[in-house]
Amino acid sequence: MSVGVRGVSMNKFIAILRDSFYEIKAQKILWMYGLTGLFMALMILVLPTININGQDMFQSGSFSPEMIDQVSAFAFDKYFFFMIIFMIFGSVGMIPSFLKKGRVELSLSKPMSRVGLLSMKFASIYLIKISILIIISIFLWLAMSVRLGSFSYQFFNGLLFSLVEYFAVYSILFFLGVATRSGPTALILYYVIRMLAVLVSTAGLVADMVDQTAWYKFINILYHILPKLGAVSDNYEPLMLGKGLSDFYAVWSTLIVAVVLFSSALFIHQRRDY
Amino acid sequence: MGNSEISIKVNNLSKTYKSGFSGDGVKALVDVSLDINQGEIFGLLGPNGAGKTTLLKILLGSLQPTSGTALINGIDIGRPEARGKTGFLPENHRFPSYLTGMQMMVVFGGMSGMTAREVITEATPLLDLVGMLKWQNTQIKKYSKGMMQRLGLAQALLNDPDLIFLDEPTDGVDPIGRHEIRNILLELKNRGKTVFLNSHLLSEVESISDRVAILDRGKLLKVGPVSGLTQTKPEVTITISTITADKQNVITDQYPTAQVTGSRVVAPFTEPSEVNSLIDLLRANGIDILTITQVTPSLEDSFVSLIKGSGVGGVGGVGGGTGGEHE
Repeated sequence: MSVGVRGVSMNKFIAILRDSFYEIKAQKILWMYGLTGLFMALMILVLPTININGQDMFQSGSFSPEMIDQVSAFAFDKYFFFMIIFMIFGSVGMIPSFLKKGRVELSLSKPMSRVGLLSMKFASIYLIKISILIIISIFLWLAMSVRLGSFSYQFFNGLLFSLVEYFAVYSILFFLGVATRSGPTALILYYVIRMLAVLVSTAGLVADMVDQTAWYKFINILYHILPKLGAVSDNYEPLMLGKGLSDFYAVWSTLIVAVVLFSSALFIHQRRDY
Repeated sequence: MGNSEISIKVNNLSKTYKSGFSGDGVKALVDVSLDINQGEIFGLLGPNGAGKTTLLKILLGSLQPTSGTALINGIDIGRPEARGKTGFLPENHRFPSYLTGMQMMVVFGGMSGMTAREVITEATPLLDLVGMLKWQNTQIKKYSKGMMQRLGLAQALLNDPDLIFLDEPTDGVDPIGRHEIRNILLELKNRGKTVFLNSHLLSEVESISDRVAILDRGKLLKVGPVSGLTQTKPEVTITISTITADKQNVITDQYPTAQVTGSRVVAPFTEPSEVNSLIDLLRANGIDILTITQVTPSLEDSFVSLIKGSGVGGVGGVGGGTGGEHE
């Protein structure tokens, strides 16, 4: 009996996974990822040389392994930054579209709990996105490693961290998508939150400018409760250089905010009338 | 578990939409109670804003009731299992436009717990039944309204449901398609399925429903068989030459139930002998008879009469109670 129930639940998840896959495919986002990855790999493999300070990076022995790690970490830091942005733009509208009037009623009429339905949608989008990220990233890493003649396995620290960062980012987008049911609004609010987090991180400076303790306290509270996505992104390079997290507080506090927002989205969905 | 004969049991269901920070809100449903039996086609009627879609959405989990309870096949509607053997075609649906017809069947069939293989096996004859098989690999964004409606109907029947909810199923469908859909619904009834039909097309509801409920302003005015809701006594309308007020009085004195207006006499038909004696009376008074017509009131006539008679929140005048009049 329990196996049967589990099988039925798996069928439901696979159905939602298919739906998300068809949607991503229809948005031409898969092509965008594929072409970007291919272009970057070709750049790495085909370019005859990359000169840094007059030295050929691809010339064996030109750089020390440490220097190669540093260049590789710098390149992949930028790569992950842009990939997360691509993923934000590609997925921000998917939850509002799923909750669109005329469609959500049909989904809710299926024998699934509301929380189960939305959690599965979140999981399906997250799984597809990170699968794309993992495939392209490993492809690029292999191309880079072959060309440099050196395999830096610390790259995988960065890849793993990108999955954590995307979970935090997508949880915030998920909450905003459920709350506003509008992709563009969710995107604008996401960047407002990001900018606000950067502003309040300079709380001390602002407090000096306004010279008011109450403001300082307010800004300080905001700093702690807002997701610190900018600071989280700063961890890629040190991680890929084997130095560990540079801002551990930013990472775990952002993850807590992400989990709270994810739960809040489910709570809103559970109680809302469609 | 509840009574196995009853497919849907609604007990004092109410829904109030909040409006702003103050005020009482909008009462979309007020203490609605009704039972829908297994194997019947049940039509839900009402003017715009009567609460039909609200009732449907509550039963299918899109809305949460303010108070009251409802059971589907004996299971509380708050539990997902209540919707295990149901199919639904929503009104104003917006199916994902990026899917093809068959992909949509696979996605929504899967959400009912079916495997892709099961869906494809079941979907092929269903798409054929609704005339959509040749369009199964075309994206929904290229479908017309009627094609989407047909696809939606096939989707609603995919998991072999015992209970099918259809909200305006023939909306946007051509007359031939409407006829085909009616036949499909009758075939479902013959197979013992329960159909909950919400439609503005009274003639459609009248032609296939076993029982109907009439809602107005959230209140249930009447529930019963179509024959019970329509006036059983046909009326006889006699067109005559214009007559004087004295002669009008002669007719109404003998037939108080007759309505005499200018050149028309309308009388409720009871016995053929009464019609004959009325004709004799007209002739005896030198009134020329131009035509004699027998009119059987339709469901539409009864519907309009009920709605007009209900007044603002006027259940008492017709239904005789907040639960409505059950026949």
